[in-house]
Amino acid sequence: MESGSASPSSPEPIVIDEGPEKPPSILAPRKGVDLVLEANDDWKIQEIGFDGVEKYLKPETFTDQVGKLARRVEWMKLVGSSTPYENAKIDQTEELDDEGVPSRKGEKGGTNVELVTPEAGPWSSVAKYLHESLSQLNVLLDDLSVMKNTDYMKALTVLDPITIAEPTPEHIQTMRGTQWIWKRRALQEAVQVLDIAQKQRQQALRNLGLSVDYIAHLQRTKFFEELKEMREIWRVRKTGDYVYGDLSYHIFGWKYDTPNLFDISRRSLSNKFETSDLSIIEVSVPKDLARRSMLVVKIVKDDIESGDLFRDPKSNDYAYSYKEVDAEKVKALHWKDSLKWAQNTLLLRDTFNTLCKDAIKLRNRLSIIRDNVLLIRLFDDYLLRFELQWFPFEAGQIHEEGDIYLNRVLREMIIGFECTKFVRPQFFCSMPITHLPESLDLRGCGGFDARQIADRAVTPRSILDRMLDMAAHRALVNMMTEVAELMCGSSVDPTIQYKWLHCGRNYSKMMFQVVSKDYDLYLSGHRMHHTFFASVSSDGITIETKDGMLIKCDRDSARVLYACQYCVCIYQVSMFAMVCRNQWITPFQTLYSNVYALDDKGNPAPNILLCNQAATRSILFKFHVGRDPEILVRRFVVNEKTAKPEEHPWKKLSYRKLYGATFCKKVDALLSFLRDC
Amino acid sequence: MDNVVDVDEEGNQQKLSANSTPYQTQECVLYGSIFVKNVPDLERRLAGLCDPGCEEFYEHEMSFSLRTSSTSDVKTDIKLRRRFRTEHQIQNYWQLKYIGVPEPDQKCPTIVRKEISSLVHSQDMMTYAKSLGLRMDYEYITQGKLWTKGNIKILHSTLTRTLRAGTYDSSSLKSMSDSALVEISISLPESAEYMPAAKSLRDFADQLMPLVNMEKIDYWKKMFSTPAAPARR
Repeated sequence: MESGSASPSSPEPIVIDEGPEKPPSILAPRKGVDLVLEANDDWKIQEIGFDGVEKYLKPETFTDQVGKLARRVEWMKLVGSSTPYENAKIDQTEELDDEGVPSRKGEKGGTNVELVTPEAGPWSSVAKYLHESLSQLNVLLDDLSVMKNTDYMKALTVLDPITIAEPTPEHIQTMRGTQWIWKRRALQEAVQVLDIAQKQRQQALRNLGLSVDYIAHLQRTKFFEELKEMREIWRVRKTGDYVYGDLSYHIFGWKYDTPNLFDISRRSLSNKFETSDLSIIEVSVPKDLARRSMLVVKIVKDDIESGDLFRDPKSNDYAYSYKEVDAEKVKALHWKDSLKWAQNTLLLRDTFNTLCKDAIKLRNRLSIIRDNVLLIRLFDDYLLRFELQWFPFEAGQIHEEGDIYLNRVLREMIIGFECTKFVRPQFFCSMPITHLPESLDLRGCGGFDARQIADRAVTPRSILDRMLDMAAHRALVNMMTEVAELMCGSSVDPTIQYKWLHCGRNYSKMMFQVVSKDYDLYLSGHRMHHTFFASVSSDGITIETKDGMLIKCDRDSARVLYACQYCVCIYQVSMFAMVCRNQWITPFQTLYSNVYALDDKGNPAPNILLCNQAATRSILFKFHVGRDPEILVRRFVVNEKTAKPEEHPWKKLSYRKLYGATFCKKVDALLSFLRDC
Repeated sequence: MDNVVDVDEEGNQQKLSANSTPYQTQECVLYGSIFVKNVPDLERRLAGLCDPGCEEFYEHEMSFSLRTSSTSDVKTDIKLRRRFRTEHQIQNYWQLKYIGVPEPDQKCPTIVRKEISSLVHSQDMMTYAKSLGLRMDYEYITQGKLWTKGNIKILHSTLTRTLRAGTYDSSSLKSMSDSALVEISISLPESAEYMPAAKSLRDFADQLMPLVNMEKIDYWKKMFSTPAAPARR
């Protein structure tokens, strides 16, 4: 029992009361022993002063102990270096001075400017070792990641250090063996690394130093570039993961119809960086369009005697089986070709169907359709034949058959029809759109009734109609050319030249020029009969002279020839008249001339009757078409009434035997003979 | 002349002979609006979807109403429209249009209504209108572009109004809002089936979706609920 802590304990006898009831008395004899209580351990004496005062070393009190322990704790690590000493709850985001001291709020407690690491606690060494080992582990992980990313480093196993560190004498014999084993193992690992390096080098050599990823990236960019190229020509769309395009050729109307779509996919090229001819885009074409086709138009003569069928039933060109199409082969073609061919096939197939439907509608024209051939009556004995031909879906030239002009014209019309917008908005935008012509919009005060509107409405003609007209015209033009060639080739005198003045699809005009050699000076004046025209329309040919005479020849080539020859006869008449007007050499008077005269059979035979200046002889020339002219000469009849016919007989001269090579020369010679006699 | 048989293969192909064009008195309409600054985007999309080519228009529309003398509730709206071009002054051509009440068909995705329009040529239209008993309610000027796809007609236009009635020069014109009105319509012959046309119209309108939301707007409800102010679309 200590009495007070601060005061030094002085041994003091403490009287213990035995019993509370007895009053304490000093005189009563005490029983018991004398107890002296002393502290077990005294405070150690620090020093004894010379005056006998002992200075004690105070033992640590509890607060001292707490203080000592507190000083050992590293507060900075617990609380954090940025927080002020006393207020740990203040927000961390306050501004810091240059030295990192929080400026305003931490003024109360102040912070440690120099961070003094407090003395380590009992677990500090453990913490330090742990920390070290963790940082070493971090380093190890970093090393491993670096090694993983580089291609040329490989982690090797480290031999167990214990076995190396303790080479005991027993192991000396086996040491060599183990050494060899270790060395071999090391070498094996080195070999592995070198193998990998070599493989990479070889691949790099093949790929020109490029990695697999880079090649994939190149392929992807190539794909998108080609896709862009494709989009310049084709309509391409993506739905979800599915890229596809549209083969239809319509500009107006709905697009992306299901039967006309083609799929686009990426061709998986090998990982070699080779520039191959294959495009990276693979295209799949609908099976029924996977062939090349051509629509051939021809004018054929309906030859009854020939006995040939207009279409060979045994020919397999048309027999196309959908199942035979090899999708892989189709994919192997370049998309530029395959899409173009497929669209062409679609276009021609649709056109052929339209032509057949139109042919059915034309009730007054006979037509026959069999598989892929359409025959329709053109005129007379001629038929127009349309044939849709199939060719295999491969590269190569296709020989174009039929009439090339008609093929082209048909193609142009198909495209033209596709590009024509038949409906148009009306004058006011809120009125319904219409296909009636614009002239019917603003009708004026009168207004039109239904019949007038029907008259003015433009009824578009179908392609077949137009084709028929154009084909008929083409046939007639061909015929006209043949006739012209025949005539011009065979006629030496006079020289006939022809040229086309105007060549259109439905109407053409040809001009003939008749020239006599050496007599060009006679052309200077009056040129009317030296030229005549032939106009060719879809229905027939008309020969026109400059003075307005029209000779209709329909489609008969013989008539055309006859008409041309007739015009030549007229020319000869006028030449004759021209020649005889020459005052000095062959002056003759034209008494009578009739271009429209007929001979005794009723055929046209222009004639001309002349007499010489002395009025002694008269000459009559009758120009028969296609034959030599008839020349009759007689004495001039002075008085018609008193003349006796037997005194003035017509003497026939032979044209052939006349002197002179050409007609004009003959005429000249004849006139000069008969001038004075 | 070759005897032509008219064989109609597909229903949506226009019959190309004048005899068979019936007078179209019904129309299916959808309305929508778009900010004027987004109109070029809409035009680009229309250029891709529609038939090639668009037409510009600049027209002035006046709405008249014919009130019967007994009650002022029942009124008939007649719309008069004229061309407002400055190059050639075609001032004598007018369009008279009557728009009827829309059909109360809930299932139809578009507004279906009777629409009768005709072209009129008149020197003095206003006198004529007045003598008919038409009183002008409002007028506006519309300018925009017209696109077609098949027989679907797509219009987008900006509306302006004049501050002083009667003068239409550029100083007194003021735009009504910064939105453009988009209207898609199909004209149908009288008493023809409108459902397939309405469905195709709705399908087409859906393709303009994120740019313009075309709706079947119940304008007639608004019109009849507030008789004082004619809520125009």
